[in-house]
Amino acid sequence: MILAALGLAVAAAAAPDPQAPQSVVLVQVYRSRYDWSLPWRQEAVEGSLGSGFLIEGGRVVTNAHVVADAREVLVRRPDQANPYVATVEAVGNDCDLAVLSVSDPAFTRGLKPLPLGDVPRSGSRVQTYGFPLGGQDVSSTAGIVSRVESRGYVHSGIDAHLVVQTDAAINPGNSGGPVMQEGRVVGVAFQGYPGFDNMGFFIPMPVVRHFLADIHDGQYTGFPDSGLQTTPLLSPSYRRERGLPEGKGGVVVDFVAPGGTADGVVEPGDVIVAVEGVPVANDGTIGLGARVDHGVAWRPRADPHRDLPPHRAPREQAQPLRSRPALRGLRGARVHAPRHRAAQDLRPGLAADRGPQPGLASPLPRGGAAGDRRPRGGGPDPCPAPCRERAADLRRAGRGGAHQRHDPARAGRRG
Amino acid sequence: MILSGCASASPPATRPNTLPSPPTLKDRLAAGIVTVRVTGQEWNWKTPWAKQGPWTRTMTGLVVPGPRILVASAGLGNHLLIEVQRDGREQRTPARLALVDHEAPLGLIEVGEPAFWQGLAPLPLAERVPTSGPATIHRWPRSGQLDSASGAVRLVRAGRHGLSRLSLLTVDVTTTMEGGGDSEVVVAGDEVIGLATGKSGDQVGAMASPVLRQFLADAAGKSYHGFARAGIGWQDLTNPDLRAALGLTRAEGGIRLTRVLPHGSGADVLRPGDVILEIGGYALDPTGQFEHPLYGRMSFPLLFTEGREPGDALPMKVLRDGQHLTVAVTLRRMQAQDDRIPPYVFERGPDYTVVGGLVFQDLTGPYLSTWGDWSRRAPPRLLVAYDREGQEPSPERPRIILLTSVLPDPANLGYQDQRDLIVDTVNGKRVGSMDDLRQAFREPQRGFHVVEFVPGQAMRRIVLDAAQAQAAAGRIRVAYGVPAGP
Repeated sequence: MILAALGLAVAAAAAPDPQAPQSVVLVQVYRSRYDWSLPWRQEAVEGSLGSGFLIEGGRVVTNAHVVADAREVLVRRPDQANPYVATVEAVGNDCDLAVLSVSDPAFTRGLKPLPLGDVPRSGSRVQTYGFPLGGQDVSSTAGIVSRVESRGYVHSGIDAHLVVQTDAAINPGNSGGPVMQEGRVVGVAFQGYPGFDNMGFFIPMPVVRHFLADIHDGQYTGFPDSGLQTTPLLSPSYRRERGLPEGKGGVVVDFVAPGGTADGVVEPGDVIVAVEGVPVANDGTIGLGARVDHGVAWRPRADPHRDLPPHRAPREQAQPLRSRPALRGLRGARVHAPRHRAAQDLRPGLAADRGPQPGLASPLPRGGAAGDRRPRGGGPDPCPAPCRERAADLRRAGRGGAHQRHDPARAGRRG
Repeated sequence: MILSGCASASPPATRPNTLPSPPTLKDRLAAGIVTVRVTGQEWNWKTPWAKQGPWTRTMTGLVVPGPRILVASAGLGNHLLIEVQRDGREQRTPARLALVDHEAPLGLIEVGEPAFWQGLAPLPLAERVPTSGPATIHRWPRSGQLDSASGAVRLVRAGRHGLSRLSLLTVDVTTTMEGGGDSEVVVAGDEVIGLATGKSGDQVGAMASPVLRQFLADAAGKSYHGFARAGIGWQDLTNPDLRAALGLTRAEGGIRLTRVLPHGSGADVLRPGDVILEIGGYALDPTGQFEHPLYGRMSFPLLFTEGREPGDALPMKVLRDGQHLTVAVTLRRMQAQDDRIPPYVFERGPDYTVVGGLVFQDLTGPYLSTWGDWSRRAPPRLLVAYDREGQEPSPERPRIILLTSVLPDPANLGYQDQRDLIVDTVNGKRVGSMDDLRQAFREPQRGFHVVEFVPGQAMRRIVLDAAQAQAAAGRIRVAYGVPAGP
């Protein structure tokens, strides 16, 4: 009796949080990376852990980096012992999201898919659920929304979308887990900054919804790109030289990617003053009013959602979260989404005139960061020397073979 | 001979009635070797209006006919003061650099004070160097007796010295000496066989005496000609299929040219793709080696310097498009300042200009060196330029012009973080030299200076208000210590 009572007492003290959604699962991955300098080779199998959560359709959402190079993916419910074999249904490497499915119907029995929410207000409270450092039960942490902004997604290294910064602890193993507010998913935890206090990031719903809608037809197409390389017009002299009226802001186009969205519409030297009617400030940021997006209602906050100018790269590399703390360097497989042709109609009067045009429209990437992102290939130098040096160090530390050290002595014989 | 102040090692004070004994080898070495102290100051290539702290180097000098002092060292560049010392004494006598060839590197020093030369005498320079056998290496320590280390000649080869690209006869000597590579005198028998220019492990690399003799003979002439360089890039032809495809017989050797620099000896005559079979009568093997009559297998660039001077004709046998041709190249001296990115810059500071706080300079080796381990740390775009076109100037664009940094000022608001951008045009004009740049800045467009950069960099274009840029000059001078300049 006493033992039972003790047992009960222990059980009561250690009972999992009844608020914690059951639909958050541990994702266990066994992966084998490719060796890019010995291309017939795959590296030894290594295991890693992440998190995921159930959404409608019996699917589990997690991060792309959690399942990258996976040879086996297992998911485990916090209330069960046995893992289930999962299949990767879709991956968006440009937004670090992935969707898994489990064929065994026992997996979803008794689990409710988590409802999806919106972008949370700055300053509001959020809660993360996941499996940092693995573990048996779901772990939860809490914090507030520190900031909503646009930042690089470390998984691909070349894409930037909306991110939400929070001081809720997000640690290796949390990747792919939901961030919730009032019972709804407001984001997917995915990266952090080692050495920085209380600074974790999650993917907000516009990006997640864009991804889910995209894979609906069974094929992932990706986020469109303006194909523009622009420079902010912070210099008053430059603004005057471009003929920008006093008080009006914009960014000047340096380069238009051939075959890209803006090809044939925008020319180098043009100044983008507004995107879909939303004015562009001199530093490349936009303040959004009514939001055009893929089913996501997105209201402005006290700090309007802003988009970082495309050429400013993070000074430190953010780390995708995994159970293995060390960043292993650039990932092997990269999926480049093909560029979208302009889906929206463009305002008339573009072709003839050079120079700044009011209301110059560039199609907004659906659900993602408005304005410019780094174009892939042939674009600007988005990584100034300190950033590149760090990246080079990371590559050397990680793969060794992936980056050939520049050695002028080896560059042929000379005399 | 006055004993005091002389290097004589055996004072006959105890035997006043005997004839002075003939000088020993040690005496003669002590009388033929001096110390040269060079003081100088480098510019700070990142803040090109300022100099760094001064440095002092010590090297060994060889007394040669003149009398003068010969040194083989890359440490003569940017010198401000030269002093000489003898007999291992501290007393210093001012001297001056009469002639320097940084490309060798070799220097000739003159000392105005006649008293300095009392008792000093040149040492004989060997006409040919041994390929093996004992050798000794000599220098003066801070004070006291001549420091002589024993060693053995290991190898005679074609080698490079200092920052030079020239291929010169080199003697490698294994030695117990500590340190080295500062022009120490290498002796075999009773002749000088070289001056040490480098040390690696227990091995000293010395510029061989035939080169020193050639330099001295050249220096004694009416004008100095220097040493020629091929100015080519090549590949080995060890792959038999490649050789067959080029039409080479099994007996023929040869190397295949991949580059011919426009300011090198090969320009006008040689072309990329040519297979060079023979130079100066010597056949080349598939790795570019020939059989030197005295020293055995050596690498062919030596044939451009040994016993030849710029202006000489050097005959070659070449296979071009299946045809065997006999050609003659006219040897040319290639100097560092003729390269697109000079590997070193001496005797002048950085060529820079500041406009509205924007600092412009041409890309040079010393600028790259500010990154320390620059081949890893310098911006990749600059490294690509160095690798691909560092040696190849073009008449329209002899240099690569950079916006290296920005001195923040209201006139350049918005550009403060820009670094190391390669300039394409200024005010609509292509810029291939600092003079081009300065000239272009004299002509603003509609009141603006427009600088365009080579595409693909962090910024494509910078616009300054010309009047504001002018006004900024005074503020920048005060804030950053930049002197009023060009």
